[in-house]
Amino acid sequence: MTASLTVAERRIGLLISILLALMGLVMAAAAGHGVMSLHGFMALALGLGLAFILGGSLYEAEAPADRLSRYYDAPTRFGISMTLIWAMIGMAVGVWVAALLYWPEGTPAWPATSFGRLRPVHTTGIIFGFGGNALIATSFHVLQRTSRARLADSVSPWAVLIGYNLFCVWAVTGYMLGSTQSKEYAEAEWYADIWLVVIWVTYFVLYLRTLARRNEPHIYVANWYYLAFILVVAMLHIVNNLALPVQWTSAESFPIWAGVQDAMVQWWYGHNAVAFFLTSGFLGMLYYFLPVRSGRPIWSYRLSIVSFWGIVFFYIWVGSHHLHYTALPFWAQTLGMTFSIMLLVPSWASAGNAIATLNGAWHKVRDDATLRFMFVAAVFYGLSTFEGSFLAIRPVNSLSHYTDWTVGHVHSGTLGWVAMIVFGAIYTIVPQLSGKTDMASATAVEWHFWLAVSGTLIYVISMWNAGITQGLMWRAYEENGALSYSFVESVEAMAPYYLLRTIGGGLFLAGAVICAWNCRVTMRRAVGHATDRPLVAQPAE
Amino acid sequence: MTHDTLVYLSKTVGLIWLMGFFVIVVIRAYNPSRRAAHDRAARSILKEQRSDE
Repeated sequence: MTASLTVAERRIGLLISILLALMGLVMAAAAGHGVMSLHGFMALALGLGLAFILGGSLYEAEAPADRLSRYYDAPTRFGISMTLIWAMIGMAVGVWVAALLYWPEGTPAWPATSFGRLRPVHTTGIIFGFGGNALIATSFHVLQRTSRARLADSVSPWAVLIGYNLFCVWAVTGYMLGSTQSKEYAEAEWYADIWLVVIWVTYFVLYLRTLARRNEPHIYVANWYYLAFILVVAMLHIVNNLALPVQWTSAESFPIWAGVQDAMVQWWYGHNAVAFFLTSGFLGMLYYFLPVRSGRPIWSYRLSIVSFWGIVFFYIWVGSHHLHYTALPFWAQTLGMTFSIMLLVPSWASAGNAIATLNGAWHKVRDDATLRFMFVAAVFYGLSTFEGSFLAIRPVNSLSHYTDWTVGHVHSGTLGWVAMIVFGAIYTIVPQLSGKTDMASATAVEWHFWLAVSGTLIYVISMWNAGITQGLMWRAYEENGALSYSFVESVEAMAPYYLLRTIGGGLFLAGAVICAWNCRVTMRRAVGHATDRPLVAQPAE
Repeated sequence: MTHDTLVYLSKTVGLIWLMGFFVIVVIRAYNPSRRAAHDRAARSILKEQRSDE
């Protein structure tokens, strides 16, 4: 990190690190005890650590003068490392809690490891840790390449990545200590939420400043998707997390929303987290890395523009389909359902556009496991968006809601689509940034691909069976009107599916570990920089 | 604001806003005079891939 910064930038970094350490100290001292105090000490330790690294390098050699004629890839490399670390943490916790559902007696007598605390560690670790780092890292890469410009400055990319990971660590350690806002996918406490807003605004400003320096007349469509991700996630995060702390010196807070409004705001956030965190940015990845890897321009650039606006306009309305048959007004449920069905059109336009791009390059899909990751991603994107529209239909939802079908649906999206496109992007970027043409081991990429595909299929198919079985058992009646099955009987019927799900998740985790090893070996053998360069050298800040 | 007002607004302003935006996007995306610019944009990311194909 430090070698790529000028001495002036190291001074700015040092100042920010000292401010972070002071903030941590104030938090720890003011809270005195509990989660907030521990989080304060974490920020203090991080700030001091960074201050020592930057302070120690103040009198080392100045950054090379020709750096401004190259892309700034060091933050991308760091972001990819964090992506893979979080992938292993998040997936390992996922496999562990899946195993606990099969062997509940295996739960240790330590509260921090109970299912209820570890489950959000899994979801946050995967969505924010794995997905978020992958989005930030690849967005820096795609932004620079499509704009043919270096990142606007060298300090803020590090502030974004390191600050974002501090948020993730605060979040998951807080859950393990029993601290939560009790809002799904927004469990982190109020000060962590405010911290994320600061980081996110820095990210947005950096993105816009770099875009403003572009040497291409047109803003390539992938940037639109990334920008929608950054902008809308900020909007969702702020509105859903509006809360009043019980006191400034503790982690507890109350949301300003109440009752059915709170539920609606939560699921407006929740489903748009799927839309703009787990879809929009990853579509940006797809629209850049799939053409680049296959060497073919996107099949229809125009269709990608129309589907962009379709996705942005339709997705924002669909959240209420999470609240079918609740106290939410019927018309609001119907609105969510209708937009969910309409959403299939732009979703399939994107999936079809990706697959049509590969038409004529199937020999490359056959030979190149990296491109196969992207192909599988596009197929699963098409499948899971169809399933999502279908599950949002009210009568279908009456069967599927509260069952493991929903869990299966989410994982066909996250394993089959999101993780596959991330791995495809990683296998494209890592050799490029290491000054090489290929990963250290092509065999390991093949192994990863087949482990990931078989793991996903085993996981998703077992959860479809589990969910439909549960749904049917819960609505089976005797002739006299009594329920045919008790709830516990429906739980017992899940055992084989939960075991299969654990195995499927285990295979997927094994693939991710192989990927992390392969990336580490490739990065350690790095020779120099990425060979591609911006058209014009960028002036210094 | 009553429920009726909201329904009236969504059936007029909301409809025109959403459909109008959609029509403008389609016209701008599929305007024949922009074909060359779009094709160029689609190929712009491939320039660095000289070794490919």
